Amino acid sequence: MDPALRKLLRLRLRGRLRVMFRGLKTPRGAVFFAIGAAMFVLWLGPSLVMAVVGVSARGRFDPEVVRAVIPLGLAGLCLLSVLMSGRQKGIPFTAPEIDFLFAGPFTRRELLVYKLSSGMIGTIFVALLFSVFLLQHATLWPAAYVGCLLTLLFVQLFSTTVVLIGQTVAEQAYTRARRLALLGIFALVGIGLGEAALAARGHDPFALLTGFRHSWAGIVLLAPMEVFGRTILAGSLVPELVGWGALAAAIDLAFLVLVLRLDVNYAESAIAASQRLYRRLEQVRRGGGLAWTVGSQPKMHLPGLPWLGGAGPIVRRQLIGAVRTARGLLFFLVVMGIPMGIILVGSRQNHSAAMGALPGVLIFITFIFTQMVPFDFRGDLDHMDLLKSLPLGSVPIAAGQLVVPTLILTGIHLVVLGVAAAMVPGAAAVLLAVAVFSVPFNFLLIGVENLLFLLFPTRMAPATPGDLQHIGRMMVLVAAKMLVLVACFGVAAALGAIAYFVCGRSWIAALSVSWLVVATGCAALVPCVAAAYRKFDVSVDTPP
Amino acid sequence: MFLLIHVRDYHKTYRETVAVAGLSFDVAPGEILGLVGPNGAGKTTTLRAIAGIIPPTRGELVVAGSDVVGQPVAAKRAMAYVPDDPKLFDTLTVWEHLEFIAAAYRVKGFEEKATALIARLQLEEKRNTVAQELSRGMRQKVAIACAYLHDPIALLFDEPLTGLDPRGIRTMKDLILERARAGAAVIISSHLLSLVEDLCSHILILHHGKRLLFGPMAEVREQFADLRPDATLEEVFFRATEAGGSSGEREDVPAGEVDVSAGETEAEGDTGP
Repeated sequence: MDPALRKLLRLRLRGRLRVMFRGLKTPRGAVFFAIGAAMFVLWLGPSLVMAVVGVSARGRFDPEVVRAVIPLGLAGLCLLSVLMSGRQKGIPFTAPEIDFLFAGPFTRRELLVYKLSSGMIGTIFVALLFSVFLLQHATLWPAAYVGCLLTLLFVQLFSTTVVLIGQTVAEQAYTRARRLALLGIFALVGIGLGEAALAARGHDPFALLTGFRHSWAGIVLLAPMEVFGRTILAGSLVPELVGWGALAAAIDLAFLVLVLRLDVNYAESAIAASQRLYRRLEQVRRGGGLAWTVGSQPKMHLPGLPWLGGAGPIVRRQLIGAVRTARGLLFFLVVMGIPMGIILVGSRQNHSAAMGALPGVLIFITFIFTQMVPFDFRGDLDHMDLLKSLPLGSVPIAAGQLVVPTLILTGIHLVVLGVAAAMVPGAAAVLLAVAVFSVPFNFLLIGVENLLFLLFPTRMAPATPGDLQHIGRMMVLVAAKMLVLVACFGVAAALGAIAYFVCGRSWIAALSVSWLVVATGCAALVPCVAAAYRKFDVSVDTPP
Repeated sequence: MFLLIHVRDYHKTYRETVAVAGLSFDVAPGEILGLVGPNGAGKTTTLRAIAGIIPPTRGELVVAGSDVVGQPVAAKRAMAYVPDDPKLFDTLTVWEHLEFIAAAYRVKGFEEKATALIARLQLEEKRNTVAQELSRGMRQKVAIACAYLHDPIALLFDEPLTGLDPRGIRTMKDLILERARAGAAVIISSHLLSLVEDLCSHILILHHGKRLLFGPMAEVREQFADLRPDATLEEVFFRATEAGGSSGEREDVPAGEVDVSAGETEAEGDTGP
């Protein structure tokens, strides 16, 4: 690799560390950093403690379980690479890399080595994190670390190889070859699963996967991946780690040589991939949520809405954005919904278990989707100057901004509650009560999100991965949000309890009073959000 | 005559779309070529191809005697490309960008030169500022500083004045003229026809990927006898694209008949041709 490219790698690493620690000079920055670091430690701590203190034989996972999961997981990732390779037609260099390096005095191969090295540096740190989590399953930490490192490198090199092969072979031939390869793989998987299903009849899904792994089809498909699992779980430095590690490293080296040998003119496809990636990242950073899923010429057009004191146009604009990203939202809903559905359906025989699982499911979905529906001020960070130039009052703007995410979240809750009601018909009354509270709860949640966002504006995604200050800031905001919600619902619950007793133990009275209190809180929140919006100074408060 | 930038029969096709078709032109040392055309005419595609960023579908692209496709490293060492809205490395400071460029182009003892460029482009206060904190105009200046650091003999600019303040615009113009006088070949792509008129000795009008007009500024004007002798480039441009766009290529001034020495004499000591 050209010395200048090595220098660039060093400079970028130094730059990243500099940005991570930049706010330490200010008290607020130092506090956020400390909180972010504490969250990081809390995240990793339990795994470390369990590994250092020692986990009982009962507490540690059966190595066979881990040994089965790793190759299957790796095979799944490789399959995903091949499936996605039809669309992802380039190695995604960043925009500055395109501008500076493609026009710079570097050969194609040098740039490829640079890109792979750049990925590897990140992999070194990620492998460290993974190895800590695997400590409780692995016997030796060095084995866990080396195994994770080689596994992650394999995933990177495999996907790069697939992309480059796709550019080497003519597109039609590649598409045909890819289809044939996928057909062959799926046929083998089908045969293997069939064998396993017959053997594992009546047993749990894990038995099915283990059976597949031991079938001849599974052995053939998973053989290369087994090496990485055995490296991670090596029981001794010599001969296990050295032996399996050398084999894993040899596989990685073979792919590296293949990547460098292919020497495809990847420049154009890399530029296109880079532009796509850059657009998506910018959209996410601007709070655009799933805006990247919108097609270039959307077909659906919404009719106009009533004026509603000025809130109507605001609601309509956000509704258009929401409708045009519905496909992306539905995709995530399905992806999230499947495991949630499995939990609920799996508990249907045990009603109390199902009802016990429901709050967790609702909280999890609410937490995830609140971030995915920024059809409000959070998604308008770079449009605040436009909003402020409109001849609309701050209160209608604030009210209009809160409507669409509230509607979306409420819709999702109603779907989940509907599924729960179908599983547990006896709990329909309780679920109906929860559904009634869904609207004010979501409005309050979105309102508090927007209020805190306007008071403490921040980008949805950190500028630099691993930005501990950003994590710290997000944690403080989450804590503040929880505090406000708990306070509001605490008051509503207290007044509801009073109404319950005053009205002769009437649940309807209690729920009605509670609902009214929450609804009043929502109404009171709108002027607060409007005030925060008025206070927001575009020239000062817009984060970089 | 040694031509620093030589483009012959350059074609660029994306699947069924022809971005550039059969483009040929040359830029000699000391010449500043204004590359103009409507949106989608193929200007950026052409610049990127000369810069070696995208490969041509067909044709010959030679910079400072090196084929951009066959000898890319040698060709790129001799030139600098400043794209439209340049993207910098967010976490690197202004100085670190120059440090990297100096390493890439093997510029020895770059510190003095870099300091002078930073001063000239009013970047002293931002020297140790990370790129993500810079405004659009500042980022443009950093990209320009990086382009000039290794004294390229071929310079390619895509909308170089976007985002610059008036002082920055004046500095940019001076820098371009200085480099041309020092013998570099410069191509400027811009929609600002007044800039092109001020700076450029030659003009190339692209339309739908084809060369509509090419030659010295004065002689291109003469193609339109019905226009006033002092017709602006804007008037020439509209006449050329509105006529040439519908009826095909106009007659070009043959490049081989251009008197380079006359063009250079006019440029010397002036702010424009």
